[in-house]
Amino acid sequence: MRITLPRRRLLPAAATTALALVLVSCGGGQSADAGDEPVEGGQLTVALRDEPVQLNPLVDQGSGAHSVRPVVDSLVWDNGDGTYSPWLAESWEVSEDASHYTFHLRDDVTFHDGEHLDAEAVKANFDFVVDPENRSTGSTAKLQPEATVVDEYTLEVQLEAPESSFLTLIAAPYFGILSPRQLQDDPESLADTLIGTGPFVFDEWVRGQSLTYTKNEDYAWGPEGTHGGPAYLDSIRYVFLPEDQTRYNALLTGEADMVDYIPAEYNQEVLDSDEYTSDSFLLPGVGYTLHLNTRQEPFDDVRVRQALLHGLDREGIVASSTFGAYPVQEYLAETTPDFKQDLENTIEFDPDLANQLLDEAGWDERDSEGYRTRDGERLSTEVPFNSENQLDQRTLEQVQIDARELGFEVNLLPVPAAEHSERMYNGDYGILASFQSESTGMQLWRLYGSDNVSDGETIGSNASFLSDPELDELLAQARQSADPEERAGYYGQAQELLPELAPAVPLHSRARTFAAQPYVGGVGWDYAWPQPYLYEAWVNR
Amino acid sequence: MRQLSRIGLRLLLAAFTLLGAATAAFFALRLVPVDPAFVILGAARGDQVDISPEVLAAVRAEYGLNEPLLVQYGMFMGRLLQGDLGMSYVQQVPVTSLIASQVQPTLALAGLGTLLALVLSLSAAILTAGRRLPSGLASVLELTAASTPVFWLGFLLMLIFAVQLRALPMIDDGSLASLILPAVTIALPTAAPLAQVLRQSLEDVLEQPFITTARARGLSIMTVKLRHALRHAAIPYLTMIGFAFGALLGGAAITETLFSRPGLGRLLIMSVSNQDLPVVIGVVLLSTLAFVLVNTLVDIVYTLVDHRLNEKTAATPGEGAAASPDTRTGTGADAEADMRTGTGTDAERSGA
Repeated sequence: MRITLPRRRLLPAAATTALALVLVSCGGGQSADAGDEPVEGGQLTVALRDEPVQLNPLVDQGSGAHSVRPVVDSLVWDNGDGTYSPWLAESWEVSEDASHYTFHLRDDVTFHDGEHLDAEAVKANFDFVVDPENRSTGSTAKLQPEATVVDEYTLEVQLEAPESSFLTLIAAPYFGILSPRQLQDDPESLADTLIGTGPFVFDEWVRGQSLTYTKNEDYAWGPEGTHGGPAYLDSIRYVFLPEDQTRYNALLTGEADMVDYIPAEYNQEVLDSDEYTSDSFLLPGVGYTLHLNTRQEPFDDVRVRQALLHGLDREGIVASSTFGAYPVQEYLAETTPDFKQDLENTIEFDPDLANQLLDEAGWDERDSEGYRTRDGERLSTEVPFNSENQLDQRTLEQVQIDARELGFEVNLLPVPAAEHSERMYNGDYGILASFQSESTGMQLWRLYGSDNVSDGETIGSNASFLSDPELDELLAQARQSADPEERAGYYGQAQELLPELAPAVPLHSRARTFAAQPYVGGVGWDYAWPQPYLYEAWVNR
Repeated sequence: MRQLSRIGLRLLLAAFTLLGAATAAFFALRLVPVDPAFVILGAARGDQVDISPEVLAAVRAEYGLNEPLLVQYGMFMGRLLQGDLGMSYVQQVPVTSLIASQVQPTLALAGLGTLLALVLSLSAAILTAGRRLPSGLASVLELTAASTPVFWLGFLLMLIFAVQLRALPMIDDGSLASLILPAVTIALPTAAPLAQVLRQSLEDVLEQPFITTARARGLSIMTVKLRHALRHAAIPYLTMIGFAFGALLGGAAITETLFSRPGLGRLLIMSVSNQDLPVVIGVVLLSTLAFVLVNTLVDIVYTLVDHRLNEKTAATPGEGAAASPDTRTGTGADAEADMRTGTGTDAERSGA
């Protein structure tokens, strides 16, 4: 099942066409009575799953990124296919090795506090994430960007190391440009107030309940391809409904005009429904994957890792744990710009091969319970998982059952979320299951590159502790390739290589599905960090 | 005077309870093998973030995490005694302001919930006590309500009244209407045991000879219940309210989560899951304080309802009212006392 929007921009007509296409492709539906023409005014109430713990997008890539987009703009707009359009930057140049970027800014942009957007203002944002005092853990901070003002509207950024995905990272809401006055004079306020340049102005955050934004009447710098002017809606009200069932009910009762993160169990029902307009986007990146700890027995043996990769019925596991809502994926989700469409080395379910590999690895005896043993020791591993996540639990239970078939004992260990991360950094696990999404193949480097192995000094996200020179070289080449095709070529080779190294068992991609009442129109997607984009939304009640 | 010193002792005990609760919360949360620095850096939310050694060092220094645990405990208690609950690890705002912003919604929910629970339990018990069939029926209903998980009950109410009938809103928008479903959700399981206890003691009292005497004077059964029996049956009911308050706090946490309402319960659940230690301690302290206050209040109300407690405490000071189960069903002496004063409940109060 492929459920993605055509990668089009957000002209209202295009959006309506796209919506119609999706409705048709999802098996019918009536035309929305939002109409084709935008309607001015009104409030849009959007039910979201996660409330931000704090708002400042420059500090972390957590929940804040779900709900701050209406207030903050980025330097460039990501078209979702490896290309970019102008936004706060009119144009830019990238050095051949993708380590040096020059941005030419618009000269007509003002922040909500009246500050003028210039090179100094943007530099203040880069400086903020680099300063360790501000504890930024985002992707941008990791690249240690050093910004230099060339003239009033020109800014140069030098990265510590080349990064061809830099534009995608800074196009995401977690590098939304904030007012330099707020950053410098009142940084404490960033946790619960945001001053950006976006089409909506921060109004009020009632913790535990809602976040309200009102229209920015002066807005005239929408990303290229949009109508550019002020938003159609008077205001947006996000309500936070973490309970899946409650959030879904809010769609049924009509208390929410739009519900984001439709739970997996209702995904198909909503997409098929005539009563609501809906759209779904498969989140790009590494997806939901079992990372195998290559530093420990038994996964220090590549044959055991390959055995698990081929011995698990991934199709079956994903279909039953996600109620058929999410598709199986390879090492990258197919919506990732660098996904290799004609991938040859795909992961095949082959229990015979898996058993053969385990025999070869010396796990060829069986104990009284039917598990494989070697020198009297049982083939066994441990998966700590966050017990609050039911989807994780269902998936891992299926994995456990399949592994049992191979004579491989997989012990599930429910732990609180915080302990989960502690174990992750200490490498205290056999398998670590996690969902990771970013709109670039660069995530392969973050998850499988040896630069990102935690070693006591640095703390990285390479959860399998894989360190392979050939893969490292490919990833380094990709990150140095400013040319999108060349970059995709290297990432493609990495995708062909990964099943051989088998550092992880990729399982599913997750769809981000929203549903709206039929009177809601003009909702698009922000592809840099896929989420509904409400700038050109309208309500026609 | 005796009463004052008893209240003074109560308050002293309350202060110790609070310190104990703070200490228990501190160690319970710090003994979990999780580095608070990771929590502060947002790693506890399951994102696979990259953290540079510089950032980690900055956080450790700022929060004094390099000190031994006992030194950290000392620092924490020192600040606490000055009323400083510190900064939230995760939300980056002072704990006191975070809690202050969540008190009102929980008070509204718990307030309406308590009111409903009292009205429901009083009317259910008074209307059905002593009447065989209604009493049995109500008892079955109460047992069902008391043993239904709050989460499930709320869910059911939501499906019926919000989704099916569209009679009431489900999502909090600050209006009274949106408070009704959540308040009923916590009121029902709270009201059920209260009604059970009250009916039982009412029925016990109704079998006493003084009731027969009162009836013989021509008073209606309802008048007898309200004017005579209720006062005698009130002590176990009041004790139960003290316990029910604890259940109400737990129920509020679940209800707030289910209906996605703001409030202390939801804040607590979120903070526990995020390992946001300062917030957890703050909410635990506040709940302990509320619990102690309510039970002290209940204790004081006992003495207003039943004067024998004053006489008793005069004989054995320090013996709390809760330790007077013998007042439960109105003893013979009790009945005689009531006969002496006849219907004069007011006279009794004015004599106090």
